[in-house]
Amino acid sequence: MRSLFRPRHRKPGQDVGQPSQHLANEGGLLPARLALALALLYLLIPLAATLVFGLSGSHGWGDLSSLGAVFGDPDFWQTLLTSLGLAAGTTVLVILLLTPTVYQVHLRLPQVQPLLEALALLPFAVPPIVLGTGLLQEYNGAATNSPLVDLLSLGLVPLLSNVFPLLDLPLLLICAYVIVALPFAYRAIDNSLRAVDVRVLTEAAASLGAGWWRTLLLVILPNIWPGILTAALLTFSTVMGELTLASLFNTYTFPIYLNMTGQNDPHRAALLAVLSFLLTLLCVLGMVPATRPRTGGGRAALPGQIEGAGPR
Amino acid sequence: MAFLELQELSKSFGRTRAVERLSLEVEQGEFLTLLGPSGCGKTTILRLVAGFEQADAGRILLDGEEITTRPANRRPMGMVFQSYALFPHMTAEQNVAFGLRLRRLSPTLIHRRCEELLALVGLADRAHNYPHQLSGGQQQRVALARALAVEPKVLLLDEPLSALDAAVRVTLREEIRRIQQQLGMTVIYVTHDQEEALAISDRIAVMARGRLEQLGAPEEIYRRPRTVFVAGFVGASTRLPARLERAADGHCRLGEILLRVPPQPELSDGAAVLLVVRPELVTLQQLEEADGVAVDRSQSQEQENLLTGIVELRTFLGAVTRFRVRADGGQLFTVDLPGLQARTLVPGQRVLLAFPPEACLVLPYGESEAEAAAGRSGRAAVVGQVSPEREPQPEHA
Repeated sequence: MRSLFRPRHRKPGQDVGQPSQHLANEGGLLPARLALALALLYLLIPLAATLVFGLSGSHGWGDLSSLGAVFGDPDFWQTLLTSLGLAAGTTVLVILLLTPTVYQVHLRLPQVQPLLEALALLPFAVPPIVLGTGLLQEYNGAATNSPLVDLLSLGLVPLLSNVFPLLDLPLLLICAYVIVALPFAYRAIDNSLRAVDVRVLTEAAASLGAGWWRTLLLVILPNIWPGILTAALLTFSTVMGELTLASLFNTYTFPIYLNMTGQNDPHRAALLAVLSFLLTLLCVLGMVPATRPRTGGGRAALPGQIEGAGPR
Repeated sequence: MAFLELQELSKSFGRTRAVERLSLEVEQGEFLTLLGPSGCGKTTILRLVAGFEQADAGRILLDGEEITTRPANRRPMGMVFQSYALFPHMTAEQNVAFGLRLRRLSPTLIHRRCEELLALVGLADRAHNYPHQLSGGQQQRVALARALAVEPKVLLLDEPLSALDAAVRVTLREEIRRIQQQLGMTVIYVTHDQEEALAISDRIAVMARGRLEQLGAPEEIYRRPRTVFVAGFVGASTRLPARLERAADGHCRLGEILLRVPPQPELSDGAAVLLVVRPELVTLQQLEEADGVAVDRSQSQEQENLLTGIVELRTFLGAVTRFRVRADGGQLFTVDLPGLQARTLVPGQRVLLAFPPEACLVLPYGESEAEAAAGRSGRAAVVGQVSPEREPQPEHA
């Protein structure tokens, strides 16, 4: 009697003793594909609906007048550029501030790590409206007489608010965004640093003559690059979608433009939402190649993982 | 003046004293090994020399120049780490070239030097492989080439073979020794593996509790340990607490038995001592039941110490077979016999133990040393010893 489980098209020498792989190919893959399709539908249906709504103007489906109006609106370009500038500035500042700090904490002050983690989580506990109001109060000169603020900021707040018109500069908004983006960026960089043996790599570089900065730039950064890019991406998208702080700081940004347009013309607002999504998607896709490790595509062997081959 | 001098170095971590007033001199071209159990301070010394730690007190002089407070990246030292510490994003060649690039040498020179060094460590064909594409032994060879590339005055190796398997370890330690001799390099090597230390060093510094216990050539360390700790840590041995009866004549009382040991004119009669006997210096002879009491001691005792006992354990170690023999007086002896001699001996058999007086090393043995030895030997890793023998022997006497 012919077995039901007999492979019908077995080639000579073909390995048949891999039931798990067989299952993965035949039975395991279908549910996975189904789950993926459902997830994609869940994500894409609202987006498609938004796009369809955006393109359904007064002349019915396929009305591109809304799209033309969006691109023809000078406010669109102005706010987009403002937001891009703020996002870029915040991203650069976050990376420049956090990377050396977290590296130094990992290297020299590991006991401070819990404190840094708590500080990094603090922005979650403080709503942006509180943060914005607080910053505006501090820097508009009203609170600079407070000795407590003077003391806690080591005299920096009164100095800055009296000498520079910080409220008129986007720098203060960027600083506020840095605080908002801190939890996401810190976590990404911290996780990357935990994945490499920072101390040993630093000592190895030092024994070869590299100082602190050279070690950071030539040895540490290339190994935590995916984490840096993740931090940059998270910071960038956070700023691109931030509304509350920008409103408080009276800065006309893309999210505010989006909000105002939505109140007057929902079709344009829908198109703007899709454009905003595509912009973020482009950023992500642009960063993906850079996040691939430049180590031949594999995972570094850990000490103690000895291949049987030994030295050849 | 020595090439590298450590003068009265001390280093503490919190309340733990890692290194305590340690002085050491290393000659140019010498291969010095720091040997000791975990936590004895040997790695701390290496890190102090490398500049990764700052000494609390003391000085480090290299070629007559003080480098105690000089930053690590400005010291002419090369370092090889236990975990290889290769830069994962660089190929083998780029790793070796790293130090040379920092020195702004020409690309042609860097390439040539990398080729030479990778050939020296036998990895010329692996120049473009990333660390994860290399085996552990190969990674450590790249790390060695990388450290040698910058032509350090002193090469520091921190347990470089600990993460490798046994066969690779032996091959690589011979390679390290060959390269060191070929280049005339001054090397400080840290290990807790006594066999490794004995095999490759010009001198060994045995350390315990942040202090130097003994400094000497491998043979001297093995044959003439100066302290109870060194006797227990380096090599397998039988350690017997005894009392000198006539120190000048070399008569020693071990329970009911009188043993002959080399004369000890510097010790007084009645002094408590520890007899250390290496296992390869004791011979075993099979005894029939009836012969047990018929050993004619009067004739042979002048030349050799003879004891009777029972084989308790037999462990085959390849080249030799190790026996644990309990003497009739209760003492436990460790005895190594070559394969042929060992073939007929099995546990439960009565045997005659024989060892010449010269085989007995006599060490002063006070109460404090007894306690210290008991405390230490529990942690000391003794290669080749079966676990029951790692326990301190004197308690059985």
